[in-house]
Amino acid sequence: MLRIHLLCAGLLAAAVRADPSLAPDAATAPGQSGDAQAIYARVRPSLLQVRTIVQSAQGQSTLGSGFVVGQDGLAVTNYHVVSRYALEPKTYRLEFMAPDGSRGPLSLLAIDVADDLAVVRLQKLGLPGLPFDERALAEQVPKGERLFSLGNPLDLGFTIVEGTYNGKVERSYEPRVHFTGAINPGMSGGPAVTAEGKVVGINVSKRLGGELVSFLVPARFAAALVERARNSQPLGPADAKAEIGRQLLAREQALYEAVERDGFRAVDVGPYRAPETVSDWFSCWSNTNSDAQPKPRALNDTTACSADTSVFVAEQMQTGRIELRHSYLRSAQLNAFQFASFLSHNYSPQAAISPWGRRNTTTPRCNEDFVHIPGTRDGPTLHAAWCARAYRDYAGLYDVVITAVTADRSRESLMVQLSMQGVPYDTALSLGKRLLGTVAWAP
Amino acid sequence: MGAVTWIEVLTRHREVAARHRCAGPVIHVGRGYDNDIVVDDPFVAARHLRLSMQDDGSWLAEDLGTLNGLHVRGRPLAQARLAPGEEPLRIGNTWLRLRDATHAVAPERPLQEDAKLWPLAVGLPLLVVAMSLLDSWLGQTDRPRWGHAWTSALTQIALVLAWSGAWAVVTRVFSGAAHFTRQLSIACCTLLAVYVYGHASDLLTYALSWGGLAGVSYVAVSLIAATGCLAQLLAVSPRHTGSKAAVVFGMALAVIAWQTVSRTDLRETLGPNTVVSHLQPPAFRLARPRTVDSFLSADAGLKAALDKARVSEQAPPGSTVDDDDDD
Repeated sequence: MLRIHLLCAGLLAAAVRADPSLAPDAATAPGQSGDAQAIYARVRPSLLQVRTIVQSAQGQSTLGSGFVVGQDGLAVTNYHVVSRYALEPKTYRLEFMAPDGSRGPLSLLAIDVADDLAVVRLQKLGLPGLPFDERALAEQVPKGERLFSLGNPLDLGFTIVEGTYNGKVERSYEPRVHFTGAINPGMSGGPAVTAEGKVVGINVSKRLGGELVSFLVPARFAAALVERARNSQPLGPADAKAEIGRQLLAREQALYEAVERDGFRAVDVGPYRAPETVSDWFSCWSNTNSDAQPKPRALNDTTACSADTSVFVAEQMQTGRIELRHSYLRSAQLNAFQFASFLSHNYSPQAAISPWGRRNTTTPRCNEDFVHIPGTRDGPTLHAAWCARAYRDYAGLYDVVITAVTADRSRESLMVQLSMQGVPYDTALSLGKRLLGTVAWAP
Repeated sequence: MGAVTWIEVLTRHREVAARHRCAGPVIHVGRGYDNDIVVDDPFVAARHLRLSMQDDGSWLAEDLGTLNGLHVRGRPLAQARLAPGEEPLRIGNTWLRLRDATHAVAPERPLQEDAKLWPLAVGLPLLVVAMSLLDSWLGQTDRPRWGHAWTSALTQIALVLAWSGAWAVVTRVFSGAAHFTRQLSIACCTLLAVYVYGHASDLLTYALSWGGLAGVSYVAVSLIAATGCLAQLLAVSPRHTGSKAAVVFGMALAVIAWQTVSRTDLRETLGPNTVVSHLQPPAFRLARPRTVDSFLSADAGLKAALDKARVSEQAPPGSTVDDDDDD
């Protein structure tokens, strides 16, 4: 999945059709393009640019958007807009710039890593706040409603983008609103509002490889975070990082417990039963080499189930991705040694935790052995490998890859691999137990 | 007296260049033709040395007033008393050693005719080719590519022939005969040992599920190569076995040490132990399969090591992030 947090993009001009003939009707005909002008005029005073500034160089390091809520100087933006400051408060500071050109410091009040939100406080008071849409808080916005996303794309200046509300993203672990409209880097943290100027969601990411497929964080999460932040003190330098660690651990714990609760279903492939994920936020894709040219001498049918469950922690660190794949490999033409070579080419217990991740994690440790699966019939014998590494900065989180390949028959085999990023160790162990327990002979 | 005494003229490397049988009690040595023993050494005087037998059977060596003198045990002397079989004495660049008839010689060695080794000279290279082809065949998972397999086998044989040829030249220089067959057999045996070790190690790694074995294969291969080199050195000449072994294995240890250091980086990336990389047919499994619970309890045991490494391990040097992003 190529979902990005608006970190890179092509330059797409927002198409705001300002038909003068419709302009007089704007106020009385909500949903018409013409009222973009009116909406922009209404929302503009609440918009902010949120910048992280390198303390020593006094220059901007990242740039995003935000908006004021309520009357007491609180503003909402994305966690990923302020993550550098949250993680390195000595190196960076936060600054806002209002549409009238005024600037000032921001203090960080609360973060929600799982939903990619942050609440900040402005020193400057008097900016009008945007209200949250009551229907959005109750998740009752009809599909197809016209929405307007605002922000500062590519630092070109505040912009309004017209698009369509397309409901909650189906089959997604994280609750996200599917917004059909052009969101670009720099608009992260900006609001998506209805024709009445009420906030439905917060711009967060878009899908690469699609057209106008963008995502919003539902407004209810922002409303809840604002309530939490309203009376809290700014996060101290050490607090933010600890808070991120706590939230990340809780989020990952919940994610993997959800996987464990749903468990694995058994799918028959050849003479074997292989585990497949049940949770509906996984999508599975199958692949075969049987139609390759020249005709392969050994066949490999692979099904890979993965979920877009990764969470942004820092630019160099996203975690939470899960993939379960099983491959049924067989050959009538190769001898036992050749088939073993073929298996070896497809066997890589450490591939999913390859060296690129070393910045954030320790070197991996592996345990490898033959494992016997008891069953009604004499169950298959597996050659199983468990490779794990720990996150340096986040105690209690590990990357774990469990690989198992059957070792009963000399010319056919089932290979199963479960890769889990950012998993609590004990949850990984109990998932491993369920995973290996699912492998069996097909009846 | 009547005892026969032999005077051996030695090269600078203490190899016998000439032997002279002397019956008389007085022997003159020098470059001139009026000596009993004529030495072709420009650093020896025309009449250099007189050896005279004493009543007690020892010999007296006297320098006859020469420029370069007489040296015994590294010291210049005007005269010295010697017994047969003792340390050689030096005049100019020539070494002389006295031997009497009772000197014990090494026992007779069995005759090794290289001509009789031809089955080895043909068989072993063929075995190397067969092994290389077998290797390619076992690893073949798609369309057979015999051209590739043959190229690799013949390249190996060409390298083995060149290697053995070089050793044969060295052998010819130092011991007079080339012994190409012998050197070729040794080279082939070394290569075969490496092949056999590789397969045995792969099988054992899988059979016992012991991935760590692959990590030490460079040590085994270095030691096999060192043994092969030592055998080739001894085929050049069987003398000084101890010092040759010391030099060869010393070099092997240096290579191993260097490899160990250069692998440390790799180990830091891949972790302290590696996993089985070459799966084998299930029939080769030796280890008893464990239960899922016992496998997982071993996995649970890794947690402590990881938690320790989390605190103690240094992050690898990497670029810091300071580009500008629009978020």
